[in-house]
Amino acid sequence: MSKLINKFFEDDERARTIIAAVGLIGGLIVTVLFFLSYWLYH
Amino acid sequence: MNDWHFVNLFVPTLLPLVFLAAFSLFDLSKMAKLRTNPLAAIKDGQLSWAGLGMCVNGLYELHHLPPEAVLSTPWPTIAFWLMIAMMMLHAFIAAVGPIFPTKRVRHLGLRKTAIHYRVLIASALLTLASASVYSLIHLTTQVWQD
Repeated sequence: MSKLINKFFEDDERARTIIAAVGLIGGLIVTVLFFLSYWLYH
Repeated sequence: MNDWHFVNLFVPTLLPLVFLAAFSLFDLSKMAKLRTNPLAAIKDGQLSWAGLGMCVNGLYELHHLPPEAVLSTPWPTIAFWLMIAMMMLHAFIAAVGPIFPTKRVRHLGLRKTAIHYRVLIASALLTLASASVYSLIHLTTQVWQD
């Protein structure tokens, strides 16, 4: 696990790309699911 | 858009940046002047702290419904867990972003500048998403109290 994290975050440019990608992709998924659940269940 | 949006979304997000910009009007040292640039305060994803606050407020409103509020059963539970997921994303950006600070650069063209400040863009978009989700929760659960 530690080796994997070291590999992903060993260089600053790659680390920033991963941080932004996690934020953007995760945020998109959560927001879509939120509005979808509102539309379906509310 | 009403005063609720202004007080709960825009003020907590933008007021610190207004104060920073105001400090640039004073006769500070060159280094301090550089630090008063609002970009310096948000370039590593610090907007996510504001987004985190919006998620917490959304969770609070979901769990403190007025007695008149009637919500269909599955939605508040789903919304609760999605807000928790959103909080995790904000916390990740806010905590890990400053470990790998973005260098400030002069304008490189829109696309290259956006790619260079990708953590800032991600935190800003995520904060916008949190603001819209928090608004929806407020309008669904508390609107009759306004």
